[in-house]
Amino acid sequence: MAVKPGHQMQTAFTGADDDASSDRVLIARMAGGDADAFALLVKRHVGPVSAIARRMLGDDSEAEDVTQEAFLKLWRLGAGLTIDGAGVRPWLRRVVSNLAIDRIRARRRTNVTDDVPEVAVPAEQLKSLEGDAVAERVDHALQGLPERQRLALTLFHFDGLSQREVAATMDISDEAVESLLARGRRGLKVALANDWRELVAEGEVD
Amino acid sequence: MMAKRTMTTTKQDRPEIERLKALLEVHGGNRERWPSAARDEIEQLVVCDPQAAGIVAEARALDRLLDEAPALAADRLSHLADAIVAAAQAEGRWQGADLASESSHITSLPIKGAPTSRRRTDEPVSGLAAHARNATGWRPFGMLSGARRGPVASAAMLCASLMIGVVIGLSFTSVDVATDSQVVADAGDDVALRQLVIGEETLDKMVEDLL
Repeated sequence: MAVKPGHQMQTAFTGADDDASSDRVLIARMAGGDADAFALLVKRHVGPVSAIARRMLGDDSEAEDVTQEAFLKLWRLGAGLTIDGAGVRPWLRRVVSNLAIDRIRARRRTNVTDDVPEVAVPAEQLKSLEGDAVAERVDHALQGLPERQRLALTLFHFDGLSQREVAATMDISDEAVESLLARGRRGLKVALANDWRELVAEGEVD
Repeated sequence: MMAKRTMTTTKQDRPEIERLKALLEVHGGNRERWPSAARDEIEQLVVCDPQAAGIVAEARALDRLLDEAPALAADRLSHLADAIVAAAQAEGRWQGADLASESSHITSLPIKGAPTSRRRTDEPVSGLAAHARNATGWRPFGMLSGARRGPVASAAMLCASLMIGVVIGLSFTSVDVATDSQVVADAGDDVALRQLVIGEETLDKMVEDLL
């Protein structure tokens, strides 16, 4: 099992108050036409925002498109955007989530299948690819989840939101979030059974 | 049968195990993500009950796997940030709230990397004139960027966008068809899987509405 040791969950809320007040200043400057302020906002938020898109879409290029679209909406809104104490991140999170779900639905309407023909991997490369293979299996399992379960898990597990924050982002009740998270984890547990059993057997998760 | 079952799980601890499973399905195996009111109880249970310890270990293993989900690489992220800023500057800026109320005015936008400051003109422009300007290459970037525009110019932009959308849609569809033809043998399974996922998504929506 090639799970990288010390790989920690991203926590998105460190210094949230400072970020929020700073976001407000940057948005005010951006609204006055200051492109440097926009660049700072992009630099600050592009990582977590693109991570949501990537985990929802399972594709780097599509995630980049959706992330760019979300930030350009911010740029166009300028002074029209009112942000609260949590800064601009919740707004970006909500926009990128909606854009990702729109894209998943559009993809479903136009594609018969997303499968790519498998290419045989030379045996000598298999060992070095084991880490990537785990990541791919996890990605594939995530993509196999219904979109709402995937979004709830992405926001809760990867973005570090509380259950209540996930509910606010998705505009649903706390109980509905619980249900989505539970069914999402159950689905992943089935899809990744071999992998987590291996980790448990190796005693890597005490 | 009943006696055997009583030996493996007592009446007292079984509901605790069920509660533990339900809690971990929602919150995962990370202690910090558990509700604070439940942390001590879970930890005591894990110490006393090997079954509970095993359930927590499984949840932590799943968390570890989830942490392996791919994200954009650092260099890609850096390029993306640059591309976003460049796209915004190339686009210029309009304020969406003002668009409707001031739609009778045409605003010129920066041409090829010019500063983002806006220069306004009250010059009336008809849709055909706007189209002709584009067709002759006059101020193409000004017309294609997101300036506040007159209603007719906006309609022309909308038509152009629709045409571009149709062309792009057709090209993507043709690529998809070409790709799909190579995996036609898997299509039946894939469609069934999609129907299953769509069915579960419908269920998600119903549950969300109910809750």
